[in-house]
Amino acid sequence: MNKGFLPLFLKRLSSLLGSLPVRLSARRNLNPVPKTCNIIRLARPSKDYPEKRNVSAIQVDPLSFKPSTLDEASTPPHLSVWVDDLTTPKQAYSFLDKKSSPTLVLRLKVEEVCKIVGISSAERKHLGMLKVIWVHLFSDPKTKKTRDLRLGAEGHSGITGLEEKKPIPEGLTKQQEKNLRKDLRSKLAELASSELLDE
Amino acid sequence: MATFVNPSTLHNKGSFIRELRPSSHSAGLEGSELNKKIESSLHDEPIQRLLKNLEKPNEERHLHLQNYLESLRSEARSNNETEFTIKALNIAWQVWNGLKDHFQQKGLCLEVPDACPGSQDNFMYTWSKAEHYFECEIFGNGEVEFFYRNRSTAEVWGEDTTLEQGFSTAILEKTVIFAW
Repeated sequence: MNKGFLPLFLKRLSSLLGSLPVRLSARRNLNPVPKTCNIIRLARPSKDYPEKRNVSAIQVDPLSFKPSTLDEASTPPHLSVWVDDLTTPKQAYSFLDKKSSPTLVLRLKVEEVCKIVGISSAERKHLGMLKVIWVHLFSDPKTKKTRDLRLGAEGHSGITGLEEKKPIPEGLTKQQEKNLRKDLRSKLAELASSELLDE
Repeated sequence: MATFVNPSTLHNKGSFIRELRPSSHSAGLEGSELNKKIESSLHDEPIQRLLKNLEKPNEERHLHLQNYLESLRSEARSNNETEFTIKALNIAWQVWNGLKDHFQQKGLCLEVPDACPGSQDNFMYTWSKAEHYFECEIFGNGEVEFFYRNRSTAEVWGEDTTLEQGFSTAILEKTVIFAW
């Protein structure tokens, strides 16, 4: 028997067992992603990224960098992200409808995302606006009969709460609602660590 | 009276001149005389040359922005499924030039922002300095949205405009934070 087989097998088994609770959680579509997870987001680097390593708020804009096998009709609007226990950045890249080169990998902690406090005006703070949920991908998004079985598909999830609300939440003006969304988006960008896909 | 200039202020014209001037509490008669001398010496040729050199990095960043937008234009042309239009890029360039020219007319230099296109025919400029965060989001339909956030006081502010409407006093008051 190949001497290298056993350590490799044990390593893979340990990794599989380690991610078992996350895999079990991932089976329930639209349910919360465990707070202990980290998520990745793919984006286009900004002009000054090579020099300053900035993450821009536009890189965490919902509806961008969507996978093509997403069932849009039955999912709430969300920012497409991937749980990194289940999806590698390269696997996530293979799902994208529109690809950019180079591509930036942003990393966020679910716990920190859920703790962000949004501000719409001097008087109004909004707790628990952002949530991270599992968002299943289907091989045929129209029939939704079979899940996408490609490597990494299991980790697809989404951050909800960043989209423009219609109707506008009670007590907020249109401008305050816009401020809230931009406030959340910029705070999310500031929380992210980043690297280029092939680094 | 000897004047010491902090070397860290030499990267931009505004902080360099501020550093030269005596502080307001120590101004008095001697201070106001010194201020007059500084004002007149700012027009001397060697000082003008030095001030011009201080502006150079920003001019380079301005050219970098122009090249960046140019590279995105060719991407928009070559790809039919592009996420942003040439129109959005053109408006973005006009917005930047409008702001830059406004402050230039007042003898100020606006910091060249970071920039990035979005995927819904939008484009964003961002400025960040200490507790100040400021963004300008431009859409292909002509809408221009400004947003300011103070990281220390949690103040948020936003205002929408178009190129035709121009920049309100409130927008310029926020933008000037990033000018020197």
